[in-house]
Amino acid sequence: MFVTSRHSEYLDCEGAKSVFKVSLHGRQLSSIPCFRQTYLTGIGSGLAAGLTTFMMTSRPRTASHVAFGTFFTTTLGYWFYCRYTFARASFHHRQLKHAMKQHILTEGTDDDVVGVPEGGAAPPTRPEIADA
Amino acid sequence: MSTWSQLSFQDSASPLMEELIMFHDHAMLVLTLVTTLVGYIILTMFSNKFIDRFLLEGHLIEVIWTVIPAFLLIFIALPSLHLLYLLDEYDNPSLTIKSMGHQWYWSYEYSDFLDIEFDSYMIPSKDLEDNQFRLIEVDNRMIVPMNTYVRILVSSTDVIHSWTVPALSVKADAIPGRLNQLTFLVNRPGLFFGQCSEICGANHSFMPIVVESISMNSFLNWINNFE
Repeated sequence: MFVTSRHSEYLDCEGAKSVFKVSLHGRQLSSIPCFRQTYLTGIGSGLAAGLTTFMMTSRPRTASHVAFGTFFTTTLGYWFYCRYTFARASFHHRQLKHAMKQHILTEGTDDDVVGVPEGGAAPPTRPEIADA
Repeated sequence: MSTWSQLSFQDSASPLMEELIMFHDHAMLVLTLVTTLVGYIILTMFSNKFIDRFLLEGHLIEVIWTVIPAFLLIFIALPSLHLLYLLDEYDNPSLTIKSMGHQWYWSYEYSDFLDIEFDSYMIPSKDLEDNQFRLIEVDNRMIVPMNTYVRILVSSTDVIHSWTVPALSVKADAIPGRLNQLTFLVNRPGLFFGQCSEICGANHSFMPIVVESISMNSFLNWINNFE
C-alpha cells in the first residue's frame, strides 16, 4: 500500500484555508463522490450505537458487535442512497449544461430555448428543459 | 498518463471511463466492508470462549453466511452487467480512423478524407524536448475532434499488436487479416497516452499511442492543412 498525505494551503475569496489530502496509489480519496460522507456517517453511527448499547447493558462485547453491525449496514445503506442522489444530480447538471450550450448557440433565434426573440413568437415548449 | 507509484486509474476522458471509475469505487466499497467484517470476526474469535465438542450442524448460520454474500454479489453484479452492455453500445460514429500496427510503430489513416495517412513513431529519449515524457511521446499524434463519436478500426500488417488508451477505456488487439472496431467519445481536450499491449518483438515497449483531442474547428483546420 502506498498512502500519502499532505497538508496544503490555498487562498480563496475568504482567506487562507488548509486542506488535508490523502491519496492512495495516486487516487485522491476526497475526490471519490460520496466517500467522505459515507464513512463519516457509518463510523459516527457505529460509535453512537455502540456507546448507547454499552451505556444500557454494560457489556463491552455486545456493544462492540452492535457498533460494528451498525457501521456495516449504515455505510452500505448510505452509500447506495448517496450515489443514487449523486447520479440524479449529475443527470440534471448535464441537462442544464446542454440547455446553456443550446441557448448560447441559438440566442436571438426562433429555436432559443430560454429567451424570446425580438418581435418573434415564444419558442416551443421543451418539457425536458422545463423541469431542469 | 500515469505518474510514479500510480496503480489506480488515470483521470477519465470519456463518459464510459467515468462510469468504469464509478463502478470501481462502488465495488471497492463493498470489498473494504467485507474485509473489515472478516477482520472484525477474526479479532473477536481471538477472545471468545465458545467450545462445543459435539457440534455437528448449524443450519441458521449457514443460511446467514450464504444469503448475505449472495446479496453482496448481486449488488456488484447488477451495475457490472449494466456497464458491460453499455460498453458495447453503438451510436453511429461521425469519424472513422484506421490504426495499423507495424513492427514497431503505428500508422493512422483518415479515409473519410482524401490521402490523410501518417506513421507515428516513438520519439527517442535523446531527441526529447524538455516538456516531453520519456518513452510515450510520438512524432505524429492521432488527432480527434472533441465531443464527437469516433470509430477506430484496428489491424496489423505483421504480428499481433494491441491498441489502447487507458484514459478512454479502449483496448483492442491488432491482428493481421482482421479488423477490430472501437468506438469512443473524448469529452475534454488534451493528450491521452497509451502503449502497445501485446508482445510483438524487440521494440514492443517502444511503440506508444498518443491521442490529441482538439476542438472541431481546429480539427477541420488540421485536415485542410495536412500535407
